Amino acid sequence: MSEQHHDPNDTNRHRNLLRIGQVYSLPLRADEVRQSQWQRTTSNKNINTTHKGITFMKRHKNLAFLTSGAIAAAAALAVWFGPGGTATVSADVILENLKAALGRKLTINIEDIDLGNVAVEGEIVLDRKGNWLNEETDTLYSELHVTLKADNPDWNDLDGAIVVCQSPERAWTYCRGNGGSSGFLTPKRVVESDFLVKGHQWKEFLENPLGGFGGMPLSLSFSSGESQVNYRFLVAQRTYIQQLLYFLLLNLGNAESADSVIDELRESAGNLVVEQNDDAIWVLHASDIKQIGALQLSEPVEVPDIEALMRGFVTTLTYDRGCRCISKVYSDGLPEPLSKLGVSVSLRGPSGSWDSAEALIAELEESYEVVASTSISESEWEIEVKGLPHAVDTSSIDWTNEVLPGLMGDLELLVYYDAETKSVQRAEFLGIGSKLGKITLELGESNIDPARMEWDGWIKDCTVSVEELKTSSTPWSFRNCTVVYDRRQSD
Amino acid sequence: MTHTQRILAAPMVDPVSARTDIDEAWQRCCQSFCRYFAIRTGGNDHLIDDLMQQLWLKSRIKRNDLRATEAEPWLWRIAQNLLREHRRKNKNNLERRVMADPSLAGKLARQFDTEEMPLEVLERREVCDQLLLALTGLPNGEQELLIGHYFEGRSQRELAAALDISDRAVEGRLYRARLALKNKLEHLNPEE
Repeated sequence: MSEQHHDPNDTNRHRNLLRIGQVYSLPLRADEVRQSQWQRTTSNKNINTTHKGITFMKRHKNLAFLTSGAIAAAAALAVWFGPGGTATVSADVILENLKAALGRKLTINIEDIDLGNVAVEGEIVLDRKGNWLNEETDTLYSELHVTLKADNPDWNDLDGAIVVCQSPERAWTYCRGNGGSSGFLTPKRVVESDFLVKGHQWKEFLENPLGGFGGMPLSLSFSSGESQVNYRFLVAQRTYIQQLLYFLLLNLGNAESADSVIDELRESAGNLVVEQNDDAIWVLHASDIKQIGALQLSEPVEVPDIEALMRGFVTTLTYDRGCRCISKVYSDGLPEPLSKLGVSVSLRGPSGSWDSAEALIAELEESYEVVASTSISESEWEIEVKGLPHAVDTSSIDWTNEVLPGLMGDLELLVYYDAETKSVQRAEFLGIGSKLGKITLELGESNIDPARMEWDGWIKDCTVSVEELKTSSTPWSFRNCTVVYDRRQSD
Repeated sequence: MTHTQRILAAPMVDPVSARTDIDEAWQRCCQSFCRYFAIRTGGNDHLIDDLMQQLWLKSRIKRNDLRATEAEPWLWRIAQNLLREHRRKNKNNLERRVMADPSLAGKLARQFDTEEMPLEVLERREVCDQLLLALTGLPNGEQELLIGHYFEGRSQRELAAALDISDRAVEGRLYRARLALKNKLEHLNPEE
């Protein structure tokens, strides 16, 4: 009889492990390529896949529509004659009312924006007293979901969420999907990490609306048994979503800049029609808008000669006499055209052992250009080399040039005007991000369920009391599930 | 004799054999190290790769420090130090950080030993965290055996063939690995 049969507790251990093995997933086993990279590459912190690439137009910039304005200018004067043949509401009237309405209370709904491997939806509520934002008096709420789709349908998608709530009574930010995922709860189920910060953060949100995601990984892989899954979030996709939020929060959400947005929109529309619908609401339909300048959605990225740029790319290797090896590989950063386009590089140095820095330099010179070599200490040399063959990831450019144009339908704007109250109540942008993509502006409305203003609805499985975490000496530690940090205590 | 003197007095491992030992231990354990970092940092591939690269590099640089000891525990200590250093440097970052909770882990160890744990308990994230911290903190041999058998569904016969040992030996090893997991859970170190 085997040893374990004498141990009654082992039966429980065995049964519990059987269940644990069925319920939890573990990170994917690294393949040989990845393993060999660990041995060839040192720190890639200097380049890595950062989110600094600005592929599109800078924010705050006024909209610049690229389509011809000639047709639009004429169409802007379009006047629809109602059933009785009487001129009723002109496009100008509706658009001027839209401008005025944008300076008041506003609810923005984002629906069905599908970027392929990433989908976006959300809601922004600006319950404000004036044209712009006043932290003392306004109630502001934003809930944005960025879903990273699993490439294997057996696995769940990752629902990243950033929720910012700020009113005179309460202020907090919740983020799910900040820089990692634990993902081991149930088989083929990945769970994002999350945190809650108490305190005013709306200004930070306006500055960097996706900042809460921090280092939300650009790629994640998990496995359970023989099944595996990958998630991707490209720099270009992140930039696109960020631009969309800047457009909504800073261009449309600000009465002053909203005026110029509407003017340019009117000029860029290929068709502009006003109709009265069944509800006696006048609807302005602006279509054939090729794109919104602030987003620059469909402008192809000019692909630079990456090979040539990489041939001139200088990498610094640190040779360590102690280990007779290259102890560090780093660079000052990729050439600007590449970093701006979201290209990432995994730095690699040659692997091997060399008796001296001179021997390493001699070997490097056989294939590459050694720019400089300096002894920086008794045991270390720094060697600058041009043209080392690093692994270059151009997915971000590929997505912008190959996928994004296909996602773009012609943009449309529908504005709903109530002739009785002489006000615009609703406007819709259609065709954003994909044909089904829709952004609805509810004007003069800011209804929000009070329950949504409370943060505790977001914390499902935390077993540590908030008070306990507040007094914890390590408030950032991830003790159980959600980190709750009271920003006001450190202010 | 002080601790330092004892270490210095210990026989130095021949550099060539040290390197071989480290290489072999690396080949054997790198999946475990990767899992160790992944569970504790939230599974960000870029971060894990960076930590794995640093681990490999430090094992190269410090190989002369490897004295009369086995390479695997020595590599584990480097991995633990790297993780500690990473956490210290990034203490203000809002990244996922799974920490041991000895009190909870102790309770789970007792449950693990004495009853069949209900699904609703296993599904709680903090329970999952503690169990996986313990599992991925086990020495490579025990960890791989448990993962191969319970997570990857490999039979004892398959494991025996892979390890070139008898089915009976695998059974014994699995028993000891289960016991080791329970002990690890019982004494989970907050610093790991």
